[in-house]
Amino acid sequence: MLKTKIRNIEFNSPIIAASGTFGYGDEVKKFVDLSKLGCVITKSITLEPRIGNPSPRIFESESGMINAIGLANLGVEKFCIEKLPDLRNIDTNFLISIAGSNFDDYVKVMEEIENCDGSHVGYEINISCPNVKKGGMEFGVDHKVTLKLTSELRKLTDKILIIKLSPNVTSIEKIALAAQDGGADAVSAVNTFVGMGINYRTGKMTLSTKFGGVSGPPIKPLALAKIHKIYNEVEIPIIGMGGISNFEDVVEFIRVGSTMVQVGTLNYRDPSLISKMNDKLKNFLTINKINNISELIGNYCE
Amino acid sequence: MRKWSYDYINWRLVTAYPGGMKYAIKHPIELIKDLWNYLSWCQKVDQDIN
Repeated sequence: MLKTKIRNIEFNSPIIAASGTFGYGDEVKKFVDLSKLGCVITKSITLEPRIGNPSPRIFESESGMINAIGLANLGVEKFCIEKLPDLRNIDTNFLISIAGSNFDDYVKVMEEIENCDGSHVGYEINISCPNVKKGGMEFGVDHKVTLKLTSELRKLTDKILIIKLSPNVTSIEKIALAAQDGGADAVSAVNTFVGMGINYRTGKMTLSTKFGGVSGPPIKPLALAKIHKIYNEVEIPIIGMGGISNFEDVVEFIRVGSTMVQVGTLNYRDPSLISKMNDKLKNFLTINKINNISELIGNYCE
Repeated sequence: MRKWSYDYINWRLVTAYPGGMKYAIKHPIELIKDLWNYLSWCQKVDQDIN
């Protein structure tokens, strides 16, 4: 009933734990039943280890969150030695998120992971990172860069390749098309919106980096609009995300065109939320006599 | 999730701070302030999504 496919890979559920909100995946198996998740996406892996940004790097805003964690991770070498073997034993599919500060970083990280014998089903490419060689402009704001990066990474792997799109662009559908043309199997949308917080009394910025990424329920309508725009332009599956907090939101995201969805910020409230949503989603489909969740993809009326 | 296991707390601290648990122990005032904000946020989220 909830089984979903992207290319030839079958997922138990259309609900995925978003990158950065479930660690590497192995930490959370101690307190979450991972078999109820469609998939886990690791935190983004970079070429070199990163301790991330100084504190404060998470700020709770109105029912949402602004974060500037700064891609804290072990680096690809340690990840392959310390984490990848353990991830063989988790009870669901997992994808590896990759980030980089220049073009070669992405390529090297993927090459290194491909040389390890991982049981991951694919990759999610975080293109919302600043491109150092282009003055810090995000990779994901330029469709030519997106096309080139996707094409290069496509040559390196037969596994699922998902490009995670930034919403901080004028035309997200143009970037999605570039990812499709480059050979991506799916796009995930949307990453966080750029935001900031300030204390009205002291004037102090709430994050050490001043700017961060806004996520959580407040961005849901913005995310739905971006996803629907992409749905109208591309043929590859869309993995929708942006403020999903209950099973009703999951259905809404699927109706506007998502094939699967990711839950991120709300995992900080309750990491078992996804498995609860799954049960409610099954119940909803049964009551409404829907055989498979895929029947709802793009099922909307104006 | 109402009961917080050690693993859960550790995972959250690693996300929040560079240095995780060690940083939190060395900066107790910051930890208490952040914990207060987090708990208030959880209550607000619960109100909004339920």
